[in-house]
Order: sequence, then C-alpha cells, then structure tokens
Amino acid sequence: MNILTALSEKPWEENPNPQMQKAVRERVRISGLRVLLTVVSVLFFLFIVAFLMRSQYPDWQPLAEQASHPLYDKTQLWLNSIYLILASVGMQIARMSSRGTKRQLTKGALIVAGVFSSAFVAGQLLFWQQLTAQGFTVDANPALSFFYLFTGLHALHVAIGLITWLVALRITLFSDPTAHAEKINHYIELCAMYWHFLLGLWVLLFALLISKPETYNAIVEFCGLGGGV
Amino acid sequence: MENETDHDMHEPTSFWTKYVWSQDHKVIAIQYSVIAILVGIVALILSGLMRLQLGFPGSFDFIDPSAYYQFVTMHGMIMVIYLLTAIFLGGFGNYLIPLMVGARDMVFPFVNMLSVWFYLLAVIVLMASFFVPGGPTGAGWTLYPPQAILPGTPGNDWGIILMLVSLAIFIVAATMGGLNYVTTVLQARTRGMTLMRMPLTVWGIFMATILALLAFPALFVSAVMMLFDKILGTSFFMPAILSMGQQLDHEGGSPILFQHLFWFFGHPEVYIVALPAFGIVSDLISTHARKNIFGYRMMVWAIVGIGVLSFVVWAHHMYISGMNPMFGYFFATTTLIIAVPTAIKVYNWVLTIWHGNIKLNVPMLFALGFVSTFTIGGLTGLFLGNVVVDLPLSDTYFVVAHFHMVMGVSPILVVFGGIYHWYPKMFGRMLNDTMGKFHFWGTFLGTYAIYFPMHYLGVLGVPRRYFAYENYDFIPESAKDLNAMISVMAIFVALVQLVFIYNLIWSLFKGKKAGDNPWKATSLEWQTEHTPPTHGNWGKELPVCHRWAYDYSVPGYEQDFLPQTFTGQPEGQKA
Repeated sequence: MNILTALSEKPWEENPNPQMQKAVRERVRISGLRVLLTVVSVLFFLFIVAFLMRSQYPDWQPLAEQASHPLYDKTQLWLNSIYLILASVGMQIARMSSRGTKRQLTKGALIVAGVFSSAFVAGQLLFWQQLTAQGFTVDANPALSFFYLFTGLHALHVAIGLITWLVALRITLFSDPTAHAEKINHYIELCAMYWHFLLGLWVLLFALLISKPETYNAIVEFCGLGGGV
Repeated sequence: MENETDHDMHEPTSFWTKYVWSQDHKVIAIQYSVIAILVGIVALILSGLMRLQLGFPGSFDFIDPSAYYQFVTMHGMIMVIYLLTAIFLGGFGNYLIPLMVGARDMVFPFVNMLSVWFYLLAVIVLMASFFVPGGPTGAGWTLYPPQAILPGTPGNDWGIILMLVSLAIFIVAATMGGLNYVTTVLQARTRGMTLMRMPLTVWGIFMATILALLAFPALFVSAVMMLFDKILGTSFFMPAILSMGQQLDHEGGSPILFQHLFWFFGHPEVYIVALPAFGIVSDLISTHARKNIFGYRMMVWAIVGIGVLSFVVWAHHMYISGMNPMFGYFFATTTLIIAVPTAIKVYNWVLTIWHGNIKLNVPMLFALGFVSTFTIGGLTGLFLGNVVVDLPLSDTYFVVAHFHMVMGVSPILVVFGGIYHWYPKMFGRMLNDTMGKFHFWGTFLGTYAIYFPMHYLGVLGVPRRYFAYENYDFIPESAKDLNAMISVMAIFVALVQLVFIYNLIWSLFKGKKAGDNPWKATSLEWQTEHTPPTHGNWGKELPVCHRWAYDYSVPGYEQDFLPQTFTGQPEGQKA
C-alpha cells in the first residue's frame, strides 16, 4: 500500500458484515507494522550514514580485506545468513499454507522458522565469542565497533520478533483452526512481513560490512558526505 | 473503526484497571500530562536556581560551577523532551486524536499503555541521576562529545550514562505512542471525517508524530553510539585526546558526526513541539473569535511543508562547529525558506482574528500571547539563520533569548491555553477564570520581561553558558543589573505557576460545572454524550461527520456555530 492509497482510503465507509470488520482490524495492524518498519528502517539508515561518514577518517580499517582481518573468514556469517533465509522461507510457507487447509504444514513451517531464527541469534553470538577470543573486541577499531553495533541491534530485533512468533505459535497450535483460521493467518502474515524485512536488512548490513573501502568512498562521494562535513 | 471492537466491549471495572493499568486513551493522556507537569516543575525549579546564580553571583554557596552546569543541562533536556514533547504528543495527542476524529480509542490501546509506562520509566531513570555519585550530567543539553564523557564535566561517570539510557527508553515510549497516533489518524476516522475535515489540532499532532517517528531514531543512534564510547571504549565520536595530562584510549572519532546526528533530531524536535502548538492555536483562535479559520487548506499544507523542510535545516545549529563552510550557504537558504510557510500561518491567525467576534476567554488570551511571542521569536530566527549574523551572536544570550521565545515560552503558552480550553471536557468543570487571567498576565508579561532584555545582553556580547561574569571588561555594570532584574522576574514567573497548579486542583472540586460544550465549539470532542466522555467515548453510535470543524458564525443560522455532526439547513432554505 503506498502512501497515496493510505491517504485516500475511506475507513468510515459502511462495513455491513462482521467479516469486513475483521478486515478493518487486520488492516490497522498491518498499517501499524508498516509504520514500525519505517521507523526501524530510518534507524538503520542513520546508523549506516554514520558508518559511511566514519569510514572516511584515517584510522579506519577494513574488516574483510586480508587474512588478518576479523571478517576475512566469513563461514560462520554465511551459515547464520542461511539460517535466517531458512527462517524467512519457513515463515513464507506458513503464511501461504495458512490461507488453505494444510494445517500441519503451517504448524511445521512456523516451528522451523522459529528454530532457525533462534539458530541465527545463537550463531551471531557464537561468532561474537570467536571474534573476542581472537582479540577482536568491540573497541579494537571503529569498523569492528560498528560490526558489533549492527549485528547486536539486528539480532535484538530478531529476538524481539521471536516473542511475537511465540504468540503466533500459541494461537496456531492451541486455538481451534476452523474457527480461528483468519486470525491464525493474520498473525502469521504479520510475522512473515517482519521476518522478510529483517532478512533484507541483514543482507544489506552484511554486504555493507564486508565491502571494500573503495565502495564506501564511492558511496560517500556520490552522496556528498565527504569533504570534512 | 465503525463498529465496536474488542476493547470497547470490556469497560474496566476495578480501580487498578481503570486508573493505573488503564488502556483508555483519556486516562493515559492524563497520566502523561501529570508526569510531564511534575517533571516540568523540577525543570522550573532548576531554572530558578540558575537565575539565582546569574542574577546574584556568589550569594548562594551551594551553587558551584558544577551544580550550575548540571542545572542547565537537566533544565534544557527536561523542558524540551520530557515536558513539551511528552505533553503535546502523549498528553494532548492521546486525549484529542480519538475524540476529534470520532474513534472509540487509539487503535493499539495496549501499546499505548506500554508507552506511558516506558515514559515513566525514562523519567525515573533520569531523576535517579540526581542521586548517583557525581550527580546528573552537566554536559549541556546537547551532550556534545568529547566533553560529555570526559573527566572534568560534572556527572561524567553515572550521570551521562543515566541520561543516555533514559533518552533511549523515552524514544521507545515515543515510538510506541507515535505508532498509535499515526495509525489512528489514518485508519480509525469516523464516517465523513475526511483528512481535509480534520481539526488543525489533529493535523499538527499527526505531522509532529511523523517527525518524531523519523527524527527520534537519530537521537537513539547518537545516544547508543555515545554509550558505546563511554562504556565500551569505542571511538565513534571520541578523537585522540589528552585528558588531565593522560592520553586516552580513544582515537580518530568524529565529534562533528555526533553534532550532525544530534541536530538531525534536534531541529525536527523544534517542530515536534511547534506543530501541535500551531494546530491547537488555530483551533483556539477560531473558536474564541467565533470565525472560521482563514485559509484552512493553506494551513494544512503549511504544516506539511514545515514538517518536510524541518529535515533539511539541521546544520544551522552548527555554523560555528567547524563543519564544511560550504554547507552554511545551503542551510541558511533552507532555513530562510521555512519562514515562508511559518509566516503564512501567522498571517492566517491574524486574518482569522480580523473582524472576529473575539471573546477574550483565558484560552484565547494564551493563544494571542502565543502569536505575539512566536512572531518575536521567529523574527530573531531570521537573524540567526544567516551565517554571518550568527557567527558573532551564536555564543551569546541572543540565542538564549531567541530559542526561549520561540520554543520555550510560545509552546508553553499553548500548553496552558490548551489546558484551559479542554479541562472542562476532561473533568467536567471550568478552571477558575480570575486565577486563569492572573496566570496569563503574570506569565505573558513576566516571560517578556525575562527574555526581551536578553536580546540586548546578547548584542552586548554577554556569553551564554558562563557560570559567572567577573573580570570581563567588555560586560558593563548595567548588564549585571539587567541580569538581576531578569532573575527577579524569573522567580516571579515561577511563582505565578503555583497559581496555575492550585487552580488545576481547586477547580477539580470547586470549579463551575462546565456542561457538554461550554465554548460552543464545533469539533467532535465537544459533541460527546457525557462530559467527561465515558469509556468508548460515544455511547452506542459513533458520530458521523458532515462538515469541517470551523463553521462559526455561518450566515442564515440562529446559533453561531455548527457542530461537525450538524446536518440541518439554513433557516431560509428549510422546506
């Protein structure tokens, strides 16, 4: 729904049947989530701008250029990325199947999504531990500080998402599937939106963190952020 | 929403669910306002203490330089964030949005309740900093690094950490509230309430909320990164630096990066406070001048325009920061452009009053006071928006005078006006008129007496932020006398506020009964079945909106106002 559609909507128009009423309530929740995701996007956008501006100072050290750099070996990060992708896929399958009658598939996919999301958070923490063990602590260099900041905040968002996942799971497992089919679908829909967003965000952050300094310079140059702002 | 929804059906019955863990937007609004007023009183006392030092230096032993800087910092941060932002969005926004758009409540009542409790938590964390070793931070309300976290700055140990944590919690609270306000306005308007029929109060709060949702993340980013620098020893903002003769571990960070982030939040923050004030003043003026608002559409577009422009002017706070000088030209231009929609609003208020049937009720007095102080404050903004004029004035009392007129006195006058206007709806009783008029004249004239002379101090070159002014030859004796006078007036204005607080409590029990619509106003909140409105606001049927909110003195009708729910025909056209 783009902004113009949102503005030209007429929520006051008659909704004669209760079915439509539910639709209104669901639309309200989806709008709320979209506003929230906009705020989260702005938050990370500003972090990324700060990252790019900070990358222009002489003490900047890239993270993944040489074997001695902390992110040179990206195996764990790739593995974590796969977990998150699988979680997102799980959510999507649950979303699609919850519209039909394949209830077992919905339940299974939803559980898989949660398990892989937890694996992602655990994997990120494990990678933190590996880095710290090698002496790559949060204050070692500015790029690394940003790495901890980005991954920490992102994992926190996934963890908060897991709370809503628990709510959706409870409804899916324990409520009467025939009577509450739409409610189940709606909650999974909200979770799926949030998960896809976090996957996209992770891909962006991952790509940014392992990019070459030349890439940062080019972006900064293009956006006019350089030159002693 | 059109019909009853889940939460409407369950009216809370116990004391706790009704008044403490309440999900009713009206109770939440009152909770927000009470917390904001209480914390505002703390900030008011701090300003009094500052003025005691400035007016009568050396007379008060307990105010040493550290304490003075702590007063300055806490006063500024509390007034801007914890009082004004909270009371406009959390207080007025919560109370008025659902009532004015004809909804039963906010769309996410539970999140709304969480919002006020997070806000309280933020306030408690902030207040805790008065009681920790070293006291609250004295870094100035802008918290500029590197000094904010270095030894030598008061409260660099615990104070700054609590401040940053409190801000982060406040931002979470504001975001939860903001989600509600935006979604409620977009999705829960009653039948017939098109966007272009909404009262300007709702428009102002709506746009301010959008600004808050987009700008507060910048403060969050800077607070989190500074916390990292302070606690974990990173160097986001901290350059290589010698402190007390020792080389610190930090190196290479950029303090200016912090300033960019801070002001990317800080300037929209001015309008987060100003836009709701614009909206409320428009409604007060129109209602109490019994005239339709002049140029409604233009007023709406001016609010939207100011909101958008407020994101591209932030660096005018940084002309002397050492940023790229080329930026000055761009930001001076955008800053001056923002004067255009702002001026449109002032003209429209004046034209609304013009030939109106002006009732000088207390809310109207405050609204007119706002137009006066805002215009004066806005004009000095034109001076400071220009780089060459700003450079010599930036560190003087001219700036203090400017921003206190434009974003201190002006919005607070609107807060008062709004409270006098809507108190009858909130509690069913009128505030006492005599006390109200005394409160207005004391505050209005008193604040002019405080801030107008400060412009002259600024032009004389009296520097701001200083603890004492001894041994500066360029500061004449007369400036010190003026400072003493300003301090006396500041204490006077602070005391006048006691009358207001007393009035709030006295009128709760002894005020004149208000009835449903004491001001004969048109907007929906005055058309509720009960006063104060009961849970769910509207009884069985939601109101239906048939017209805009400004049908005052419409020719052909007996009464001089047509409520938004009114469907009748003019006398002459009746069948």
